[in-house]
Amino acid sequence: MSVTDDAELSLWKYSDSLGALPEEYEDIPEEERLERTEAALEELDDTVVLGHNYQRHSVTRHADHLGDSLQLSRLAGEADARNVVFCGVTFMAETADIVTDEDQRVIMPSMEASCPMAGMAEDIQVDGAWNELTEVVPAEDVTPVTYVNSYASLKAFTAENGGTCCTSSNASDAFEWALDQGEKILFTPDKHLAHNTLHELGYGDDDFVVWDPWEDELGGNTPEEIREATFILWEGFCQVHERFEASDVADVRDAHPDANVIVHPECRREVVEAADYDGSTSTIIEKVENAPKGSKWSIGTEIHLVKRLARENPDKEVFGLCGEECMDCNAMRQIDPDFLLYALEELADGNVVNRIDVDENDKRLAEQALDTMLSI
Amino acid sequence: MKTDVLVVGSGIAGASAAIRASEESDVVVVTEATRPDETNTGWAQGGVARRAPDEDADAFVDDVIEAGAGEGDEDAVETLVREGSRVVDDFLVEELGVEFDENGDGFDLAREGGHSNRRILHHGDATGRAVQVALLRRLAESDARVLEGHTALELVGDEGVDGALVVGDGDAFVVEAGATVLATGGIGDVYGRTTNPPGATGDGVAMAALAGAEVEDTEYVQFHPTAHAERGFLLSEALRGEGAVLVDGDGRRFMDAYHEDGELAPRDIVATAVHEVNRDGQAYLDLSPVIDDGFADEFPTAYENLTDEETDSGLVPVAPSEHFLCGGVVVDENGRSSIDRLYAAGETARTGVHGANRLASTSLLEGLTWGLRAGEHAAENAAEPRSVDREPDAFNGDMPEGFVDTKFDRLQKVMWEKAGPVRDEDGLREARVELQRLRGEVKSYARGRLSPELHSLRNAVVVGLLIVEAALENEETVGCHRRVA
Repeated sequence: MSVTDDAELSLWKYSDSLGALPEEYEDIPEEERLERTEAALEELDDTVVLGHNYQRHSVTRHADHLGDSLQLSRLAGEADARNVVFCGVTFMAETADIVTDEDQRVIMPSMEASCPMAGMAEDIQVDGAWNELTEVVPAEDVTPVTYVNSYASLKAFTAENGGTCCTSSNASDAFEWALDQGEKILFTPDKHLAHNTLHELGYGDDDFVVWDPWEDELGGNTPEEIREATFILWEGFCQVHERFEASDVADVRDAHPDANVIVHPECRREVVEAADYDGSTSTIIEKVENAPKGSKWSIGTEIHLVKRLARENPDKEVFGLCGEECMDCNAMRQIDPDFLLYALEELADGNVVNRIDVDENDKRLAEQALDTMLSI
Repeated sequence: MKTDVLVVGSGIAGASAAIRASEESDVVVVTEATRPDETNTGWAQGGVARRAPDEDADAFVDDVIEAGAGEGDEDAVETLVREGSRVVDDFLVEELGVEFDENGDGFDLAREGGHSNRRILHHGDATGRAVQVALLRRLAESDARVLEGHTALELVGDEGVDGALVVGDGDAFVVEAGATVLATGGIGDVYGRTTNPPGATGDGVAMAALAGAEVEDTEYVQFHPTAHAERGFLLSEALRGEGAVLVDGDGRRFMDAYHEDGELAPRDIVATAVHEVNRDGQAYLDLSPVIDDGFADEFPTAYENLTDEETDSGLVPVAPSEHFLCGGVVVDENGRSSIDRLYAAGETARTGVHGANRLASTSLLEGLTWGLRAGEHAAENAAEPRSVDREPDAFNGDMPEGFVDTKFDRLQKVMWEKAGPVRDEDGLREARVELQRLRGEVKSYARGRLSPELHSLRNAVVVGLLIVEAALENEETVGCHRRVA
């Protein structure tokens, strides 16, 4: 499979912005867009642009920093810039707003870059589930562990109930900490990350239940099943990582017997088991960068990170685990270079568009859940 | 599958378009409905207004324009009144054989709010059903191929519209068409509390907007003032026309304080009044003036839905309920949208007839008039269907069952609270942010899946955003769009 350049993936044909992007920003020639973006950035001296690893090159080329969600939020907090232009999805920008100072403004090029996995655990659902759950087992026995890929309101819920956040790289530490607090973990919103983490800690498939919030009672479980389980996994998943199948790994092994397969732990358990390695985006980047010349890497995560690694590691062969369409994150793709230009030029004119402003109470509590994570 | 004309929807607009177009062209009809009671048309209780035998057309024209707060397009209204009245007789009565109620002197004409004359044809209080049954009978006799229980997911085509991606019976395929007519009816599920049948998700408006068609006047959402507050069914305007009155919890009439025409004031005034009374109490429709020996015959739908206690006391709790989208896909006198080979008719379309508010019993009339026109124009002008290179792509597994309902709840909560019968700027801005976020999510869920439910959800969110955007832009209270500070 060849890795093409960073051409736009036009997989889903429809005019997308419906008013969110003023007409004059549509169909700007590439060269003009580049020039104007650079000119706006020149003018905006008190501004930092952050780009997530899954953003396309035409966006990230303008970024001051690249990274995963937590790295970027930290950078936002450390940056002394008044304006933080966040090229990622909403929950990440919320986290940036939580950790930045009062006088810093977090701005998203498009409000439609919202993570569908975060959207599978809405606070009202989780509140309802918690009430139901704690009628069957005492609340003090259950510790919420919430993946940072979640809305701020869910992080706030986590702090209110004595829990912690975690990332894909520190999930096992968070699990161990949580099991010191009480005997059970309620993990939201990604069942696959939790499933992979509990296996890493030596637990097995008898130790967890999946809580399906769209079921009528107890997430589709009996009270007995809930009482016996150590882990209660929210029925949520990443649209991109769930697409990988164990057969994709087998196909790569057939075609490239000498390739290393590395996947993200948001993938299904059987995919992680079939792969050679699994790890967060930072781990994947590190692994490929430090690999010997000439080695082959098949990567199971979002396509734009794979393309970047291929671009930056010309001495190695780097390719995706399935097709481009199958590896493309629709939410990340909502941030496009036209939206970025629009947000920057408005900002240069003194207009703040698409500001992310987390509710004060949620902010305070969510920060607590993040601090707990950092202290573990 | 290839056809000259593709029609999406089988209510009065879609069926009329298909019947007319099939007289000279190949027609495929894609419709989710499988029964007459699954379309908005089938649920219409009031009737079909048409110029009364003894009246000047201008009187009717004036009523339509006045109801629309002067925002309607006069040419369109002239067409509605003059041509519409004619096709009611020629098509509905003569060709389809719809039997409207008669009295000794001919048709039994009813009067409803906003009408200066008795001019409404009806069939008991279930006019829509009688019309829908007749349309489906005639459609089945026509040469049109009707794909029942099928859903159009997306319009296809690069320059202009060349058909649609369709799913149904476990199959996904592209219908390549020389012309495409969207007639998908209402948007009730955008609000939840609605007089529309389930499944009214504004699919046509959303698909057209996503394909780049001009959409306008979406802030003009009509709320029916008197739906049952708990069970949601509609208590027809005709009940008030015949003497039922609105009272508050203490049994006091309140409409006279809002408008000189009392219970027969325009709908938006009655809806606002009921909405306001319900803020601190409960409004009731007092049916006792009309409950007599003839009630069950005259209003069978209302009669069947009421409890014994309600018919005994005559008091029925009422609340506003989403009823009709006045705006929609901008079309010309032949139902043509702003993009090539795409037509819209009925509630999906914005013909300019309704302006900022719709006069009672004109929706069937509009759907009929523009349905026939669009069908005829599409058949006469349908291009050779172009081949479309579009594979139905299903590269994702299923979403959990029930997932879509939760997202609809979220959409409806935002829409009812922030873009409902009464709107303010702050609320609309909050709604926009929430809906943009929701739209981003649902696009991801719909993509790579062929689920009609996920696409309906995406469509409903798109329509919600179109309403909110238009409501934000229009800072004045006009017609059924009520802005407060």
